Amino acid sequence: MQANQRISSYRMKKKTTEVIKYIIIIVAAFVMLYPLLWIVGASFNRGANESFFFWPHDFTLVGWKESLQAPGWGSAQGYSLLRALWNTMQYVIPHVLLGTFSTLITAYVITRMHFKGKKLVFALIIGTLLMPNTIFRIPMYAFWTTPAISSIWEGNKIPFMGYLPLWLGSTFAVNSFSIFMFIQFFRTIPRDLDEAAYMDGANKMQVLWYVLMPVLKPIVITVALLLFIASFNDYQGPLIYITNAEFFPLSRVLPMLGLDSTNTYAHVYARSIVSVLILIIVFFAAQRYFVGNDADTAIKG
Amino acid sequence: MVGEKKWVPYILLIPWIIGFLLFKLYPFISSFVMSLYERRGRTSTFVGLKNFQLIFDQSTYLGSEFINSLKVTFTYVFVTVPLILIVSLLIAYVLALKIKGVGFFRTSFYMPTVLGANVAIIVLWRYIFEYNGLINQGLKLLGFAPISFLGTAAGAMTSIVLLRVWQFGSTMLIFLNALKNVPETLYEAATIDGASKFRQFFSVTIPMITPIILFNGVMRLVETFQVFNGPVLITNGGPERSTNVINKLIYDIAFLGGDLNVGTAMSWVLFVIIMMFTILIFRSSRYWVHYQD
Amino acid sequence: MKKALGLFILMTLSLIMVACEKEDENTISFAWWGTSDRNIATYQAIELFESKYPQYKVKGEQSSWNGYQESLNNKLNRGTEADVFQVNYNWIYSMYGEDYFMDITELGIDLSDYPENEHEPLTVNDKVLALSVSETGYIFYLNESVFKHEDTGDHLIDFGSGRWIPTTWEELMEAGDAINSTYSNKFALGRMDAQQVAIMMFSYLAQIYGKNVINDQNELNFTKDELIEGFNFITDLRSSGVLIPSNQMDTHIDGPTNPNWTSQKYGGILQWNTAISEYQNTLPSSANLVMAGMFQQDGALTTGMYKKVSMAYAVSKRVETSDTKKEAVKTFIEFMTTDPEAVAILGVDRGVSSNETTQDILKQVSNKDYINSLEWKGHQVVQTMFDAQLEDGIDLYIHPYYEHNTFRAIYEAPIESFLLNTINANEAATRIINRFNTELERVMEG
Repeated sequence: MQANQRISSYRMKKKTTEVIKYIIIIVAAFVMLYPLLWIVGASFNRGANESFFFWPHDFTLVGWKESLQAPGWGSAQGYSLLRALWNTMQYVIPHVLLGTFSTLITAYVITRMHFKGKKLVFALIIGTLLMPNTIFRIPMYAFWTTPAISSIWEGNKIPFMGYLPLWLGSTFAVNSFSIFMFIQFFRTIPRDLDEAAYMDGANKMQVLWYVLMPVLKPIVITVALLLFIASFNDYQGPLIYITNAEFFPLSRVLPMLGLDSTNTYAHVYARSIVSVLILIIVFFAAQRYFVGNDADTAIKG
Repeated sequence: MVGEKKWVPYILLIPWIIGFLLFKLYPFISSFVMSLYERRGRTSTFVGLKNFQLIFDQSTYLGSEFINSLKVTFTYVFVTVPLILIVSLLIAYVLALKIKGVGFFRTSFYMPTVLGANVAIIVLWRYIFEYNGLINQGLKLLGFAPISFLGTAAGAMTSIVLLRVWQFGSTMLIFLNALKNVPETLYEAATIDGASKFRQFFSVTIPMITPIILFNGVMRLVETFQVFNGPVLITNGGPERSTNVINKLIYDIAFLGGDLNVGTAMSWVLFVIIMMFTILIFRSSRYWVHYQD
Repeated sequence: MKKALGLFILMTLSLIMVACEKEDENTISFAWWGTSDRNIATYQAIELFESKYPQYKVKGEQSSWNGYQESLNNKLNRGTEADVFQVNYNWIYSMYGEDYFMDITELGIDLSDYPENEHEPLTVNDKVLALSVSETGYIFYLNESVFKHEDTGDHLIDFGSGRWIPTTWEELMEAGDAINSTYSNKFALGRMDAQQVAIMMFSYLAQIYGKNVINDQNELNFTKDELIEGFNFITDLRSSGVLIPSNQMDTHIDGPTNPNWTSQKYGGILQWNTAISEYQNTLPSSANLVMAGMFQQDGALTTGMYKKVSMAYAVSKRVETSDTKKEAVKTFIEFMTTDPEAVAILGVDRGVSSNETTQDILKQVSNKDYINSLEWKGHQVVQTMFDAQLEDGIDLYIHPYYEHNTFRAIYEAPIESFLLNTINANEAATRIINRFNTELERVMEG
């Protein structure tokens, strides 16, 4: 009798914990996602959405149809959201490619090669990891805006060059966190792989490209994704460096998307969603590699 | 490894060396030097620690603004960081238990981190906190009176804190993985000793993941001290300067006002504060962090 | 490896290209801020200029208002500013105009068509540091729809013979009561931010005491009690349906896009007459925005109209060094301000120019009715009132540092707190008095 009672009360406890578990998770997920859902719904609504419910009461597609056009801040020069998007890509793409590449090489050298001063370099990388960015920002700004230097990039219409201050750093492996992630990951790869390749007469670089790359793919994609997100969302960088309206990237354009005689709320919301669409697409594409890796490398420190 | 040319590592490190010298060491030293100068028009004069005296002098506009922004930033940091840690740990814990559709939940919690930092979403966040915005509409549904988030100091701080806490996804993922690495055997042992699940959380789970708590805590601390986007785009430092965080003040003074020297002085004070807290936390970790060795 | 090499080559090439681009003395760079209408018009004018004067090229640097000041600041510090650039009146002082801007009289521009004292506020040590584009004053504009009954279409208030536009503060408050008692979410004016309330309060106090807020010794001209009276005036407006009772209720910072304005709950605004088109553009076609001047106080000493140069064209000091450049810039500026076709294109978007020739041109433009535009009507009221004040010996010209970035916080912050109902009139007045003079002195020293 007692045993039965204990079993049934145990089962009850289990059930309630199950229920509580799911309630917490579902409520949390709802709170997290509802604002996004609401924004999507509002983009189909003609007027201001004055209700909590996300479903549009005054359905319209006009916001979406005109979502790519010149959002009213432009001029006869025909600025559009696509133009702003291209401007954004002009610094995001170099930043991601060069950043991933340079930090990968640096991490490879540190973990797989021997040289004098390795400890020092490693310490410097860890040291700069926690260093707040603010301390670098002003002198770099002074540097980039001295007349001699600014004539190189400011207003330069060659693709990518007009945004030099926003991506040149990544050519030189300044992203300590990325280096750190690569280092941690390299440490989990057994040296046997390298050794085997050396036996066959390969040199360092060949080992990296042909032998280790396949194993590194997840972490490379993760690092690239993180760099992409950070660069795409950067606000203060474009704010202080990009001052000519022709060169405005998304981060500078989006806060200016306001209501005026041609823009309704639907326009505002639709354009915002279009702008983050890239983020969403890239995120989902890289997601399979991403989730789970970030943490692994971070712990072993 | 045998017969490998000695100079290869050095050549390959050149990009990093250039990066370190040009983008880290140079600005680091330069910013300190700049903070010791004053500028009128196009000429700079050496003034020693005058800028530092100025920003701590409550009787001047600059001083009172700086002290205010220190208070604001401290409030923000010491509310947000604990909140993030607690919320993300809790959710991670629940997710780590067997949940159907864990992939869906993980993604949905991580989405705000990816999107939420984007300028577009932050601007829209403003609409959500407006007097007639989403949150007040929700309150109306539940029968409560609307809150003026952007019109009161507490409300405005709440809105930017919530914006950041909404993005707890990345911290949560790190915790999730850490939780997965806690050996089952420890839990089993505790259960045998008669500890409830609840008790186990505090006696087994938390101690085992203290290294991760340390890591997350420090990373978030350094990051939140430098918050910029929210206070600028949502509340614009207001109302009445109640969300005028340091990074925004530095931006206003250095870039808007053109005074780079005072700006660097402020950056240095911020840097020292962050470093002090980081060191403090690391020192204290001796007492509460358990490493699995 | 290959990538790095490729990048290196790219950078070297572009460096070479930059070096080869010689400083073309027949190219003028022109920087301005604006929104859609102004930008389109300016580019059209530039195209016209290049076709009329094919030997010159103009590089237009369009920007939004947001970020313009900071970028100009930095460019001036580095010496990379445009040849001709739009400036706000007070920047001549706060941005070291004496060091960076050229004396425009050296360009040979004819200033005789401008009123005699027009360029005095822009003159430092006998150097005219910028060309006035227009003058501006704060004017009230009212949306007639809000003053009407929604169903019947009759006006909710009548001051005699069908007049619904108030002329005094008393009448304004009557209108406010009429509107707000019929529709509890509508107001005769609505929401005003600290900047607007400041000028309204100082205008009201000027009417009563005949004083400019800042006197000739660069000090605050009002006593604490006088300031408290000003704050009490604001409280009266808030309790009679003219202003919203608390700014906590509406936290939209941007006026033109405020949903309460676009959905016609707010009946009016106080704004520079040069900036009114932004507010007009966001209203639906059923609205009717009219100019209502400055409301008066019975038994006042003066009409209380402040004015200032709204914006000006400044010329970089580097233009001094080249005669060719000087000629080019002179031609361009004169074109933009007095060429009949250019003036017709640019219109009154940058305000109504004080230049007589320009005004004649504007009046004669056949397809646009500039004279009846809101800007022009406001402009006339500003000029008439200000001149009448001068004859009475009262000078309400805006002080050069009144709008200085850090100084304005001294009076705007307490006002903002007052509007948010976190402090009372006494406290607000005290705060203003505490710092006003010392801070003004500090910013004026540079």
